[in-house]
Amino acid sequence: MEKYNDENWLNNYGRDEMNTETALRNIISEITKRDVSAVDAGVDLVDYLALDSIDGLRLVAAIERKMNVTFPDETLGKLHTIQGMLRVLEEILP
Amino acid sequence: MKIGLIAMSGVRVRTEALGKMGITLPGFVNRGKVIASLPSLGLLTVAALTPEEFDVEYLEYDQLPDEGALPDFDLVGISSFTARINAAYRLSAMYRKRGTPVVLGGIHVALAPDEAQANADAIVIGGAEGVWPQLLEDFKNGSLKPRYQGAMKDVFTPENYVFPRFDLLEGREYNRLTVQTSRGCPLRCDFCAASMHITSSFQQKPVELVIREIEAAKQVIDNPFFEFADDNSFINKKWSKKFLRRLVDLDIRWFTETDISVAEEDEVLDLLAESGCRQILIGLESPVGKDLDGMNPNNWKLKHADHYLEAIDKIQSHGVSVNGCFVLGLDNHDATIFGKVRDFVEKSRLIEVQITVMTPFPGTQLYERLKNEGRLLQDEYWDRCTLFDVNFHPKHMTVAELESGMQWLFGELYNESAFQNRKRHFVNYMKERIAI
Repeated sequence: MEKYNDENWLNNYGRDEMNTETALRNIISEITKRDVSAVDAGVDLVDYLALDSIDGLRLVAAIERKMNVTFPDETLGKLHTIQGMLRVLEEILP
Repeated sequence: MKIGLIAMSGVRVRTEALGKMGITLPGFVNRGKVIASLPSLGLLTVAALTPEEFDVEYLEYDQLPDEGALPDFDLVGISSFTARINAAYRLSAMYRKRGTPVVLGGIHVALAPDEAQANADAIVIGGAEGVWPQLLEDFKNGSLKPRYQGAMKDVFTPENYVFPRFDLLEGREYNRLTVQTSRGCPLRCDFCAASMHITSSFQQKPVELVIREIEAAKQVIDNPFFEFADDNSFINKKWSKKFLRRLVDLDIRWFTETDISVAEEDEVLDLLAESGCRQILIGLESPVGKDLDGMNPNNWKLKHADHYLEAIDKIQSHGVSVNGCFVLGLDNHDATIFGKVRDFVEKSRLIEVQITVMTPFPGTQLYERLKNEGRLLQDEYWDRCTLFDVNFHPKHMTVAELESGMQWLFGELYNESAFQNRKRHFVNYMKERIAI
């Protein structure tokens, strides 16, 4: 698992000013070009945003790159909610 | 007067073992589900060719009620492909029994017109362009003819072109829409039913017309995923670049089918990624180049096979996933082919793989050849034309070896672990392209 890069996080998402959930929502909004800032964390994003499997992988790639983390392979393509993503992020962020 | 246009989509694998695998292996049925959920662009075009004096309703066969509750129309048009043609014939018989005339069209009708004609009041062969208004005029006058020949060329010229009726889909649950940028394919593979029977030559739609259609479709369905209903979108690189540059501004996500030469120009690959292309489906057919000998008149696929691995890597490194398609049971294939495909897929890191069995569709060169060689299991087996059910005697294997080898390969390629490995590889490709 890659080590969490604090400098990268601060530079891009201002960890001092926003929590993980806000940062995650910002990335999802940026990549999907749809505002998810107020979407319920339990909503299935695949249905809500009409994402296909490749969209899902692009999203994972963006989160991994921007947060400098690596999702476990077994979760790829299976994290459909903000809640689910946060649960995994809690595990892999230091 | 009211016309009902009924689309038949989706297929059900007949071989029991494969049907069961579809339930347990992720990825096996994904593409099939997608295809089944696409509206029929052909019937939306027929609707557009229909004069305003007629009311048109677009229906999906799988959403129809039981026979007794079928909606009433003055005329019914049904479009089907081979695997569901028997269901289309049954539906046709139900309407005809009520006294409602039925017109059949679609790819199977073009492949087997005599058979189709026996099951309808009229058939349309080829595209409906250039012939549907005349058919309706004849219907109104009570002089419907048994057979109409649609346009086989010049379908995108002002005389024949119509804007598909995407508005008929308003309020429906589609999240994927089809738009056509070209009709036919110049490669003319011997197993291909579409490229030789729906058009006499490869035809490309002017870029501005495609753009207008996409813009119109976006007005009907919110944030749709587009599938270009083409056999080979990017064979003409000059047209491709012009089209993709215009596509960049439309902010859409899309999928299409093309050939491996798309990797030859970096600018095309950059534009694919920039314009929202999520995946291209490429018919690789076989991992072994010599197996492709004789597949096309000028051996186009054989000449390009040596570059498959390099091309796949180049395309996917641009952030565009490749769905690599393989046909099992080619005449050069023996029982070692299954392992070779598995090894190729692992080496290439294709994000998605489509395995099908060689299928002799009626009317194709392949069908005629196998029939002449006495290798068809039955002369008519349309409900088994699913691309997964074996309908012929392979040259260097038994039928049982082909079926069991295919099942083994499905297990190798579509199991959770193999799927995860391919997904991880694509995520890593994408990470390199995302700006921080």
